[in-house]
Amino acid sequence: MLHFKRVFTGSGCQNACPFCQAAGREAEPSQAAVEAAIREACAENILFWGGEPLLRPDINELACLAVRRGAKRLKVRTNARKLVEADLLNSLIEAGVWFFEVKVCGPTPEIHDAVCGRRGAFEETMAGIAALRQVTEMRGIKLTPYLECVVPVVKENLSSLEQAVQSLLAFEPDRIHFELSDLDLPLTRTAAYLRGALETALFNKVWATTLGLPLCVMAGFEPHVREALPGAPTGRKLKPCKGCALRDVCAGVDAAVINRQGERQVEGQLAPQGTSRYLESLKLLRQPLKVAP
Amino acid sequence: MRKLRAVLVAINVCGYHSLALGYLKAYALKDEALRQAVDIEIIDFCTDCNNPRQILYYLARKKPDLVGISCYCWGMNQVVEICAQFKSILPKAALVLGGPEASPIAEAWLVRLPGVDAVVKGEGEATFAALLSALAHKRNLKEVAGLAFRDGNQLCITAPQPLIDDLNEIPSPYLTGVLPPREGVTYLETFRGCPFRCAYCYEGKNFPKLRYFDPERTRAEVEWLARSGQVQTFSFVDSVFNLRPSKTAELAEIIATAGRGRCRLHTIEVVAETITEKTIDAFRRAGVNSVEMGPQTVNPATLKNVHRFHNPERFGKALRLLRQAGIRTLCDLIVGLPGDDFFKVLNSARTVFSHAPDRVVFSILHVLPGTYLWEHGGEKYGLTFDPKPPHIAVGCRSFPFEDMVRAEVMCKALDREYNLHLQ
Repeated sequence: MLHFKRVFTGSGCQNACPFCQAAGREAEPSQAAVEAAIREACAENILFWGGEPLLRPDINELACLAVRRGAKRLKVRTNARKLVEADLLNSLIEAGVWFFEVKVCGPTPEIHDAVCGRRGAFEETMAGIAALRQVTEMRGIKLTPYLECVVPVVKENLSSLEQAVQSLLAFEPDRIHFELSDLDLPLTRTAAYLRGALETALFNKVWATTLGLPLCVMAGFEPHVREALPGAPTGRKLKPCKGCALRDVCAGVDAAVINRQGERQVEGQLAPQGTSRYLESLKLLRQPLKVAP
Repeated sequence: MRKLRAVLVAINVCGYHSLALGYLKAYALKDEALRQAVDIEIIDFCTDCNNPRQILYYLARKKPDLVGISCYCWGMNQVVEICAQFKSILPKAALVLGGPEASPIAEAWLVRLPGVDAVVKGEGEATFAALLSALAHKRNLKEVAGLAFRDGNQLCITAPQPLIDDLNEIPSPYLTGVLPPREGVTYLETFRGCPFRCAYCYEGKNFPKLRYFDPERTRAEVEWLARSGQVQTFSFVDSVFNLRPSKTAELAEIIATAGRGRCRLHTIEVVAETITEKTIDAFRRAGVNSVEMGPQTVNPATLKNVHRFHNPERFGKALRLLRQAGIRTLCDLIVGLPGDDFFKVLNSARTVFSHAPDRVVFSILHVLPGTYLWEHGGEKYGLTFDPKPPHIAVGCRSFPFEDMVRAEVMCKALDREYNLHLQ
């Protein structure tokens, strides 16, 4: 819901995820370049992303700069493997990084390590999250950092998404987010597994969202669809979407998925006119805010 | 003649103390005859630290003739337990309930709780004093206006108690020594009632008009606080601090001059839409450093359903003025209002976030006795709620239960995300 301005910190990473968004980009931009990006962002909410931002030796300095430039919420997108280093974790918290978006590729070492391409990564990621969850204060003030677990949805973990949620519950995450990261996964089949995972999270009072599946495919679970909110990435509308009641409020499907799988993915999923009780409210969310911040 | 022993009980959220019981005692004891006939003790218990058995033990040791319990939704489940066992421990003592959780549905509580002898309906001071007098002089309770009571197997409802027209007839519980100064939890009241009729709120108690305490009395109370040397921060229980510009300016002047900088205000509740540069000047003069406001929801149909107004431009301007003045802002949003749904709650949240208040508080709708939603929510909006206090909303036509649960869980995450930086 809150929009975080993204600051790229380099594509260097201990993992080798095939869906990495930083692939092909500079391994470690200079400190001056990242500082310039922070100054340009000049936002209350900033997200450091890569690659693995925590590999940068100057990450604390960058965080301090962001805070000095007015950032209230500093988030880092990480694989959490470095968080077992107590000095690093403590200094991050001290510097003002209280939001952690941790990528978890599966509920077991076999699945996680296979997806992220590095043996032993799972144990380190879990240990990193556990270390993060040990933090309960900073300089005598109560503080529980915000933990969002991001689960990339790929064929290797598709049938174990529910199990992934169950394994993450022990860490009491603030949110679990599923991102469609495999262009070959059939949307309707993926949605079936996601529904189970969302239900498990919700039953345990953890908010969970999805990215990459259109509203029609996620019918009945519309509140969990990230694209329903303003500011989410949008995809392409398909031919069958013409007759869909949700056409004006749906973000469509990622163009890369359509290119790979064709338009058959949403056939038969259309919401008939007037059937979605959320339609009017979703339209409201699409309207620009009347009052500027 | 032995004096009648009355114990007034409040069960508060941890650390808080009852102002209402202070009023009851101060009003009753201003009557010379009652002073001679009755001893009144006030005892504050805590919802977290004390359990009903402890409270009953305390009462058993005191052996009172009358126990009056101030009932609010947060402590009512303990009250119910106390009432269930009361007569087996103190069979001869009268048990009387009052307060916003009991008063609007007095008859229902009398039916449900056989141990309860009477419930005070409406404003309590005059009725409680009359009840004490009747008990002390063994008069018939039918003579006491504003009472629902048990007469054998019958429930009797007496005529409504007229409101105390001049609030100054109620002595200040602080200036009369009934309540001591307490750091952080001393509450002053400058008026009763509320001109707004928000369908979920009972702060105005449905009083038909606003009644004010004499400003000089408020001045004396603030001076007393400042002199006490024990209170650095205090609060107002007024439903709205900036109700009228002239009153706001008057109150600011009182706080500035009588407080002499020795005690400062806790967060005050305000109507954002009426805040102007002049209001900000008054807030500055009063030493206001944080304010709490709606909008509860920003969606027009929902606002209409719950009898609220919200002007986005004026609301935004107020937030900007407050921020420029260095006053911290806290915005409230209610989840579950009839007319809202999951995405409309999100729309309210994104609108409020866009104004960048310091804090946003999400709460689930509680359907409180005496409110419009309690009376009419079912028939008008299909609203259902837990009959057990604190009466959390279950759902309504626009906002079914499953989406309520979703919204509740989502708002918990949003709350953490937005407010974490305040830790």
